[in-house]
This record gives sequence, structure tokens and C-alpha cells, in this order.
Amino acid sequence: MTKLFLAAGVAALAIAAPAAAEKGKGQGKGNKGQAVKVERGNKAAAKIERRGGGQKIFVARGNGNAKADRKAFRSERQAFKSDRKDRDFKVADRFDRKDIARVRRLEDGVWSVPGRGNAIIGGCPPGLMSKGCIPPGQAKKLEGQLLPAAYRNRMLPLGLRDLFRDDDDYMYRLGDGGYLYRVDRRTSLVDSLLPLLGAGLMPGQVFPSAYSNYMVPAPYQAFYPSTSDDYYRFANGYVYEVDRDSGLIESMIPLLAGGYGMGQMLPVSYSAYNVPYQYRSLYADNDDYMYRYAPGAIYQVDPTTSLITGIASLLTGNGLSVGQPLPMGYSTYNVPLAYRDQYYDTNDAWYRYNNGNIYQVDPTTQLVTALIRAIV
Amino acid sequence: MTRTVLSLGVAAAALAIAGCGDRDNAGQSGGAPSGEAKGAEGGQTIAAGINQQSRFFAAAKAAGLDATLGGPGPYTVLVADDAAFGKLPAGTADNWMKPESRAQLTGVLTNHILPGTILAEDIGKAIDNGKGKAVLATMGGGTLTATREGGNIVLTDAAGTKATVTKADEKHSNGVVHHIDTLLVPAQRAEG
Repeated sequence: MTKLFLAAGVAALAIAAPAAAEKGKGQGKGNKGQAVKVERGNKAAAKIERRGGGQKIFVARGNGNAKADRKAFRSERQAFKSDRKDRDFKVADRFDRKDIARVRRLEDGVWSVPGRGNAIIGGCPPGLMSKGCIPPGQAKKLEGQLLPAAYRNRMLPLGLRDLFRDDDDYMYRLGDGGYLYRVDRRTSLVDSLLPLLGAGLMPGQVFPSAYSNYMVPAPYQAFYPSTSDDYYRFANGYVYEVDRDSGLIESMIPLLAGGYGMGQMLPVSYSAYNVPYQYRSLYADNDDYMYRYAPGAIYQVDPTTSLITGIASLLTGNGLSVGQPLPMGYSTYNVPLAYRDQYYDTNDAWYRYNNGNIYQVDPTTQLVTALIRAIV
Repeated sequence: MTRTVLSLGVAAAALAIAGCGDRDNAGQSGGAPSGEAKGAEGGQTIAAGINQQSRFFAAAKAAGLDATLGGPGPYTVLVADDAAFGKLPAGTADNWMKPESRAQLTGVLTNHILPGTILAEDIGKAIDNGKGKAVLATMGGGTLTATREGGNIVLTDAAGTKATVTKADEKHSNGVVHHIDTLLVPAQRAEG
């Protein structure tokens, strides 16, 4: 596994840091403080380095002993923690649950993962590398190339075959790195790459400055309040969580209204079952499907590929909550037919349905006063 | 949690029943007998009830929403009839059907789906209460404005496009469908 990382690391360095002089496996050296020298066998567990622009990066170094590294790493981290620039970037590696790794970006697209013998992983969050994640820059190079024989039979999960239907001119095959390949049947050339994950923008990459003013749509803003550590932006149908200090994408949430739910890969940050309580009896994980909630929908996910293959239920982005004002757009009575003779509007109480629940509303104050009934 | 909710529900129901004798039928929807509320939903889901040959259904299928409209819901769906698609600029609808445009297509379709079951008379009441207009939240996160023009309900989208409800209150097991004559486009978002 380590060998794979190191090999990939070498490749990544070659791509990501062409200006850097390569000193062999596991090491990289840059110019003008861009890259960080990471050495093996260095006894110091960790070091705080300064970069241009006053940016402090916490670099973990190890001597090949993962466990000791982690322990020393942690104690160094304690000391560092008082300075809140140290960002706890938890990448939940859903393919290998033991590896909730503290990740540090060394330079664009190049990562250090403490506890893995300082392997340098190029441009991909840890864990996804073993699943064949290809940095977007590399993936794009496949356009116009002959489809490798190995991919000829990589069919899409059933749930997606309806959406990307093979026809006389094109066929669709499951590619790497979060891409779908559209292949011209006559020439077998990869005609285009359809990103399965947010236009190829993934956690760990720098959030493009071109998107810096793309605010989260108003109905979703309550879900994504900016903090001193992170802020949120919306593009390509995803809400991106961006770390203030590093400018890296930490997480991405598909918004159904943006339409990238269906056919997209579930972001790693959605590894845990998170369906709202009122829907859990209806949508429980099983051998065939997983269910995950993101504002806008409960998604049906193929467990083996992590691709979203269905929208089990649409949900409103801003739900009703007890104690809060009735949101805009709910002035109309909308209780399901079967419940109307029980819950109907009067001068004293209104009833509104939202996301599986019937709520009672005070017409005078327009506040949601109670959750009356769960009807899912 | 469920128990508390259920007992609240029972309590609310008990109150409703207890109060029945004192109130006149102003509380009931339109004064119709309660039989209308319970048994009258169609036996099928919205997905099964939409004309499977229609362009709206084809669009819903392309976006993966056909299965959703077969789920529990309930949803209020504004089905734009085939003629509505004809009103779009040439090529727009065909563009939407391509896999690359799924984002856009889903945005348009979820702009036509409202949470809960909203009948025409509910919209009418809200318009009256709102002195001539009512705002309706859509699943896509946007809003539509409902007004009355002539005898019909007219829905206006973020861009100012107006759609008239041509046939209302097609009831199904998981919600209700209203047919409209124009597609309603959501507010444009900055896209990369």
C-alpha cells in the first residue's frame, strides 16, 4: 500500500510541481518556500513551518513508526492547537474506517498523511487513491484517447444506466477519479468525461477564486452558517465548505436544486447514515441500497460504487421548526388529503405539512408552535 | 419521540372532535364532506398517473425524479403540458434532456413540485388572505407567486413568466397534480 502511495507520490510530484527538483522517493523540494521538505528518518515528530504570506502549516514528520509518529504528532499538535490556524481537517476515509487522518497540504495537489509513513499522495484525498482517484488534470488527458481495454466492461450501476443510456453513437462506461467516460462507438475514443463529482472539484483541492462570490442560495443559508474557520460557497450544484486559512475545499454537499445529486458520487463526508428521524423506518440501509440525506433530498446510493442512483424523497431545503417563524411560501394550507378532516385551518391554529411532519402554526404570530404528527 | 408526537396527535384530534359541535363548517375545507378527504385520493401515485408519453414525464425520468414521484411524498406537482414545452426557445427542451444538463433540468422540475398537498381552493384562500397574492415555496428552494386572473389561478415564476392552471386537483395517493400551460423557470444562479 505504501509503495503505491510512494509511486503515486512520485508521479504526482512530477505533475504537480514541475519546477521542484525531485530528490527521489518520498521527498520533494521546492523553491521560494513553496514546497516543504519532508524527510524520512527525522526524529522530530513535528515542526511548525512558515510559508510566504504568513501562512503557518503544521507538518508532521515521522520515522517510519506509524504509531509512535501519531503519538508524538498528537502531543505536538496540542502545543500547536492554541493557535487556531491549525485546522482539524478530518477526512473520513469511508473505504478504510481506521484511517481518519489528519491531512496537511504541502503544495497544490500534494498531500502529507501522517501515520502512513509520510507518503505523498498526489491530488487525491487519502483512501480514494486506492480506489483509483485520478487528479482532474490527469483525468482530462484521457479525452480523445482510446478507451483502455480494461474499461470496456466497466458498466455503470443499474440505477444510472437509464440516465446515461448507451445508444448507436455513444456508450458510457464507469471511469476513474469520479468521471464517467462517454465513448464514441465507431472509434472507441473517449469523447468526453462527465464529472461524477461536482465538475471534478473534490475535497482537498483549492477552491477556485473564480467562485469566490457564488453565495449559497438563500433557502439553504441557514444550513451553512459561516464560521471563523470555514465559509460556504455554491457552484456546480454543490455547496462547498472552504477552509478560511488554506483555501481548500473541505467538504461538498450536493444540492438537488443544482441537479448534481443523481448520478453523482456521494462525497466522503457522507459516510454516516444521516436520514432524518421521521424517514428512518422507510429508508434504512440494506444490502442493496444506502440512504443519505442532504438538504433537498434523501438520496438512494449504491453501496459498492458510492454513486447516487436515485432520489428517494424530495425534501424542502428550509424545513419548519418549532419556535421559528413560518417560512416564506407556506401561507397556503397543504396538509395531505388523508389528514384534512383532522387538521384544518381555523382562526386559532393553522396546520402545515413539511418533510414528513404536520406542524401547528399560530396564525397571529406566524410562529410554528408544535410538531403535531409524523405521517411518513 | 414518536410516542410524544402520537399522543400530541391524539390530543389534537380529540380537541378537534370536541370542538366540532361548537364550530360551524368554516373550518372544513370548502364545506365538503370529510369523505372527500379520505377515500378520494386516486389509487395511483403521481408517477403512475402522469401521462407516460408526455414530455414532462420524459423530463422527470431524465432527472431521476420519476421514482421520487412514486414515493410517499406527498407532493403537489404542476405538470406542464406538451404545449408548454413547445413555447420554449428552440432546442431548450432537447438540451435539458442531455446528461450534461441534469443540473438545469432538475432545477426546472423541482420548481414545479411543491411540498404537501395543495388544492386549488387552498391556493384561492391564500390569495384572498394575502389580498390578491400568495407565495408558494417549491422543492427547488425557490418561490412562485399565485394570483387570480379572470376565474383562473395564475402562477408567476422568478423571471416573471406566467402559467395558468388549466386543470386542477387531479388527486393521487401521494399528492395532487395541477396542469399548467407554461413552464416556470427558477431564478438563475451564478454557474461556473
